[in-house]
Amino acid sequence: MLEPQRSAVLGYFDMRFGIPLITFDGFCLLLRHKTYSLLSTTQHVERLAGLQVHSAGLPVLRSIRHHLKPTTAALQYFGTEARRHVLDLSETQVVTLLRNREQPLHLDIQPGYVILRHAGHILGCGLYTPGRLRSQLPQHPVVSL
Amino acid sequence: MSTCRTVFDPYATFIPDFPAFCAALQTPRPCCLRVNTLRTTPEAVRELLMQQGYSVTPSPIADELLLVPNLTHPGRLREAILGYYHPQALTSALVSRIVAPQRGDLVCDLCAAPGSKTSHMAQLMDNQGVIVANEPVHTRLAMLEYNLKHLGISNVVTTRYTGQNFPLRCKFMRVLVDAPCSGEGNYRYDMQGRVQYVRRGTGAPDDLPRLQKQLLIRGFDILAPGGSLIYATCTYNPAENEAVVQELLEQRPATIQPITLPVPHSPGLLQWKEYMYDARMQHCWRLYPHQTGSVGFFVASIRA
Repeated sequence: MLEPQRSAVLGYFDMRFGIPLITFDGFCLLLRHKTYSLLSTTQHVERLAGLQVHSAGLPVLRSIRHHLKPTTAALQYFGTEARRHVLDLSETQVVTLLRNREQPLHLDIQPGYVILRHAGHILGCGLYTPGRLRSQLPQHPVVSL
Repeated sequence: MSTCRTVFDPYATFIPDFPAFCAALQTPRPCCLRVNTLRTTPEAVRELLMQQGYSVTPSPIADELLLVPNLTHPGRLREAILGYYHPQALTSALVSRIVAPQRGDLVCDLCAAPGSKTSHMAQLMDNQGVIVANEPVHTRLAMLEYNLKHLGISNVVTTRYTGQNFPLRCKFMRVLVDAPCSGEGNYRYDMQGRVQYVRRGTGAPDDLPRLQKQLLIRGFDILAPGGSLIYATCTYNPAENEAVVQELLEQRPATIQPITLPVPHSPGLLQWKEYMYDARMQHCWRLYPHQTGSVGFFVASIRA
């Protein structure tokens, strides 16, 4: 992907979470079926050119209508670099969120996607709208924290 | 009702200490976790689990493997959500250690789903280089891609070829053929005394060996000069193991190389029933539950 487009796409992480662009050096940005993925930079690209590829690298952003949605995988990978829109949840909040997929929550932040963190560990992606936090985590049979 | 003695009686002649083998199958397999060192450290996971009351011991095979005998549902802990570990049998993880991929390598995992070995190799490569993970079955491919994403793997490209028809134009330094097999190595009794084993196969008795031979030969054919090929199954059946490797030795200029890891094992067979196998088969490894405390496996390390 050409540099202007790469910066525009990955700039989302900087704009929303303060994750600097330099974090993504060492990765190629790929787009397939509205999903942006990061593939570790490799010298073998030409040798792979003859293969019919089904997927490549780590999915980091999905294009949904007119906005980008970060994946939980991306936030778990790069989220330690984030400087804003990181929500520290209590154990009760995490259990509720995992069970009900959403919970009432009032925060003084700009609505949008947030990084969910518990006890210093990044759980993944959530969506904050005024008065409500929705889980964007994959469904998971968690019973114990 | 079949017992492990009756099920494995045909193999009693070559499984060392057969009574101990049968006894080992009566005990539940201890939980083994492969720590995702791309996310965290074995020490950190060990500490987190011990805080929750689990007894954790490091594996003698590799630093990233932890044995947690009193953990019955490893997928239900918070650490599982975080992608800090992946439940994987000790002997299964050993296979990736034998492949021993290096940072920057170009590797092919010809039968990759569900992705345990693929993700382990990615971890050993520190997410550098490229692994082409191939899986023809759509549902299994989805499982593979989910696991790769969950574990934060960024150096894998997936493809959907039938393994035996994988394109010859791309050559690899290392190839893993973790072939579909009858899965006898998974035969074990669980904590309720139920047998945990469903024989895998698609019909005719020789369907798996035929497919395995095709896969192994294709695996050899996509090796770069001097490259190495690992053939692995989780079964004891010589028809799916030594006989498959024998076919490769007869069809291609391949050689079997010794595996040098400090793991208790038995050598490959040189004879079974009326079949005689190449003397180099002694370099293959047979891994039995009573020797390793894990799933039964067969591994051959082959060089072009």
